[in-house]
Amino acid sequence: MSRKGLLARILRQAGLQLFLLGVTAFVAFPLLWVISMALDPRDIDKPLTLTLIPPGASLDAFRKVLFEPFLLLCRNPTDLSSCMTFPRLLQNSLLVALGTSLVCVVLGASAAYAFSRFRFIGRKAGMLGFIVLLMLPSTGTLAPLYVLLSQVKLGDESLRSTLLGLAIAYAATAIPFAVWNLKGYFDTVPKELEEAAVIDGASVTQTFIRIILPLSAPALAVTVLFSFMTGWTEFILAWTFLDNPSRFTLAMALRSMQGQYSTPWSEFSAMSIVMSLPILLLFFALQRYIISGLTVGGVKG
Amino acid sequence: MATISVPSSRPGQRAVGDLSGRLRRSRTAWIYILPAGLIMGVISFFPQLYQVGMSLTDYRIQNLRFNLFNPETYVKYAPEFVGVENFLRILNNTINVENYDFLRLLLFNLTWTFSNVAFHVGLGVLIALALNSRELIGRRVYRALFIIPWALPGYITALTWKNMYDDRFGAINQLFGVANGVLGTSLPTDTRWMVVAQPPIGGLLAFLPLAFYAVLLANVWLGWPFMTVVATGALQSIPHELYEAAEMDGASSWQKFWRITAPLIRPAMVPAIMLGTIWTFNQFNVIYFISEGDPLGRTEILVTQAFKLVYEKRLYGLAAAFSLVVFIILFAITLINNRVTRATEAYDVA
Amino acid sequence: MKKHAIWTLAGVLALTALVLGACGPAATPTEEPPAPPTEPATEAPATEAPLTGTVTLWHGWKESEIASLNDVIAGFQGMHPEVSIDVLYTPFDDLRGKFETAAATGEGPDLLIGAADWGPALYSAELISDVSMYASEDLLASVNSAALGAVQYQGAVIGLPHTIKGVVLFRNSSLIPDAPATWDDLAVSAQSATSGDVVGADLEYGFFFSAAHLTACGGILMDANGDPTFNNEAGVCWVNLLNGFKDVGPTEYNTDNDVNLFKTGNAGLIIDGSWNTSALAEAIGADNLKIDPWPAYGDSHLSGFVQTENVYLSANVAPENLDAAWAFVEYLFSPEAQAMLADPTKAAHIPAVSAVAISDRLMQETVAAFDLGTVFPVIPEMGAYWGPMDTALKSVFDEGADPAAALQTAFDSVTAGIQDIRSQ
Repeated sequence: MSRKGLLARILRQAGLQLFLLGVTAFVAFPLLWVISMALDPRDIDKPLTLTLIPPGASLDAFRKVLFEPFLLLCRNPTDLSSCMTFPRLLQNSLLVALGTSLVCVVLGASAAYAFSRFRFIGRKAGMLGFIVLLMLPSTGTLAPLYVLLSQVKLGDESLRSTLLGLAIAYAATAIPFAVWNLKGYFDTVPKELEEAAVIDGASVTQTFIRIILPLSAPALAVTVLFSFMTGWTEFILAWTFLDNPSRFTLAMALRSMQGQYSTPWSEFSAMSIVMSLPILLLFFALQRYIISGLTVGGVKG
Repeated sequence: MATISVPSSRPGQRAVGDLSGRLRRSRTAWIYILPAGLIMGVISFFPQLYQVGMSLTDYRIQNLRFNLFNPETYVKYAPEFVGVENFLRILNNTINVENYDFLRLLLFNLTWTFSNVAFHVGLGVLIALALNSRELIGRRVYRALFIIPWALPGYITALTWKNMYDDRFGAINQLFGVANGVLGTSLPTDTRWMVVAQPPIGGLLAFLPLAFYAVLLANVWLGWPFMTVVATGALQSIPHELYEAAEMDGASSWQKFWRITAPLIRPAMVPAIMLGTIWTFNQFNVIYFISEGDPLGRTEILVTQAFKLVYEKRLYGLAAAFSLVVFIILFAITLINNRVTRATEAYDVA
Repeated sequence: MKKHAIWTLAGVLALTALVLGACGPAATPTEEPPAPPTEPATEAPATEAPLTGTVTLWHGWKESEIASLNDVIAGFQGMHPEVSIDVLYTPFDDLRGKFETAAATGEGPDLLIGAADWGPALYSAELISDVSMYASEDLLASVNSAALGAVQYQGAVIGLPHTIKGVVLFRNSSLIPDAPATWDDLAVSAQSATSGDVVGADLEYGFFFSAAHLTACGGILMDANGDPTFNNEAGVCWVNLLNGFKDVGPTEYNTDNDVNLFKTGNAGLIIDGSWNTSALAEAIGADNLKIDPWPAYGDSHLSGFVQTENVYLSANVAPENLDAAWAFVEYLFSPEAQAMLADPTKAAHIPAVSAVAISDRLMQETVAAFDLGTVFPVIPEMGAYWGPMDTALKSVFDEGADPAAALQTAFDSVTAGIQDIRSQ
């Protein structure tokens, strides 16, 4: 290796690192700001100076958010034990987010498979329908969804006020993308594999479950991720639909911290950080899959 | 698929006399799709159909008690059918909303969309290339870090950026202060980002206030990781031999990029750009929470205007019509994009 | 349960009959004692069955206010142990939408505590009831008459105001020792107190906080019908007054910066809402916090909007819960409960009921400030003002537009908006 070559390589590496460190600074700046706010005990609108660790920094906000009951979210305001705590909110958020993912994956994958593999009457119309849904904003769909889910009664309450109902409502908005993405991915799976299986005597369902789904893990991961995100972070539908504080989610709790007149920014920031960690973890865990799961029909094209 | 148009069926399945086969396959398909389709029809399609219906009526607060499932409410609360009047009013600027100008709204929305997507793709691909360099140290760490803006809940990042743009205590202005101290510059440290009405760049771009550049920065911060992820996937499947062969032929980096990289990542990037366009066009969180449409409605986009029509003016029919207008525009953009993509595909050197 | 429903129905019929009885047919014979005509059945003698039912209440109150609410509920349940009260908090921004969506389908709570300007719209949508059918004359008489005026709409009493709040002038007495008697005094004190990080005054000129200053110029925002009346000399005088805020110190347009500056002890005078009183007192020390009567300006004085928060009765109340719901409302307005809500360490609500004694100094000062306040218009026409007035003020202050021209533009927009609202 010539010295010139080595120098060139070092320069290249340095150049790359400099560039990427710059990008890192760009990415990290707002994050550090949120952390700074969460550590600031003075609890005013914004910290008065640009320091990462503000004077008198404390983990008080985190402690409060994680361990103390949320006094606004109580089944019975006089009984503190009926108030929601972080673990309970977390549990509900998980239920809703996972429920949304499940509904999206099950419904989305079966519909996408049918659109991908079968030729049937109404196929083109259906595909067009999903594209339309993808582009239509859902501003005006809250009221009809509310009424719809209120029609279904589970025991003495309606589906609408349960976490399942909420998951279904979220799935309603996340499914168009799921179908579109999954269909695109299924299209790239070679039909020869299924044909081989059919020759071996497998049924349609078996080929779907044993061959297509495992090969489509990346696209399924993307679907799970996006629908989980929706279920985890949405609060407008949640606050409109749910009446029972014991079913409230983390996103709803975050929203409740925004006061009519002022917001306790320390706690709000701390809650934001803690609420974002599971999503971040999920993203990191599924990172490999996202990269290939979004390559809709890309290189196999 | 490089486009999102409906793919044509394969020749092999159109064999003459295969109608019974088609029907049989149809039935299997329908059994497969029926449960999913039914549920989706109810929860996804029906509310949107309802919205379409609302857009043709003058639905206001007096009609709130109208319930499709309860025929008793039809007589008293049914909204008045007005046909396309809502749409005409939207286009003619005759709706009574402050600072409303449809053409300016549309122009801004389109400018917002295309400038964002341009930056997203440019920055995203550039960073993906950097990350894809074989000799890069710390690749995994960077990849993990760069996913964060995309992974964080949009509501939280929007409020954070809003906070950062505050004119007295915001991080951006404080950063300028620090820069003034360290670099000796004299940047203003109390810019009222969302309020200043003087456009920083005049002439053709005079309709873009300072707030536009501020929210542009915030949205670029949010959106480039998605493009990087897609580009990375595509880059990873380009065989290295192609580059080696090009180098032996004496190709420069520039030529390598435009002749090899760009055409090969294109099939992956195009649907991503399509998605990015739709998402950016309807990017609610960033506009609504950061600039709130200020100053004077010059950073308002269609979906935030529709939202305000529902929650502030309570004009539900008009808001529904707005949503439909958004759809029509996006659909048009998609069609145009498909035509352009297909036209230029033929010229690719694969 | 069914038995009680029939009782309730009979009681309501009796009431209606008694009310109509003044000019008409004989009343349905019941055990009604010779009480005032509109007295609800729950005030009947002890021979009646104990009050039962479930009362559902939705609100957007914060923690300190909920502490008072719990006291009120405890007091009520002491009297009526068989009634259960179901309370649900919803973030204020989401509360109205949630109520509308639920009530529109026939569900929702029995009682809603919400902003005054929601009333007319909710009433038009038939989601809340006219409470004059249930409210006794005593009850109505005990409510502050200006506040009561704000809940009368289309001949009905659409809600009951349980607290008054509004815009006031806060002063940090450690920075500015004396209350400014006139606007010029204010300017002088503010400028002399400004040094270093400390500003003498950080005044808010956002439309909601500043519209009442029209009084200072002898003007008024709208007439009794809601039509705009600000497009005149008084209006221009008002805009110029607001423009003059800049000379006194930094200014705010609908932000919290002034409040935060005040909390850190760096602002002497701010204009903000009385709902911030306890937070400000906590931040700078209650002894340092003063609420001043509005300073004089010319022949008149500055002013601030005063508005109420109302209790609304849903139109969907189940018959078996109606008595209990109304009994709770009555209790809420009793001097006992109002005193609980006026507790300065908890909700610190300024009562809208006249008979409650206020011992806390800050609350007394607030009431004095409200005396010079301007009633906030809650009629639907008000909805047409926000946008145009915002635009007018911003165009004058940020873009240097001419006040008269800006007001004319606003006037035209408001008029068009009002026509639109009235055409429903």
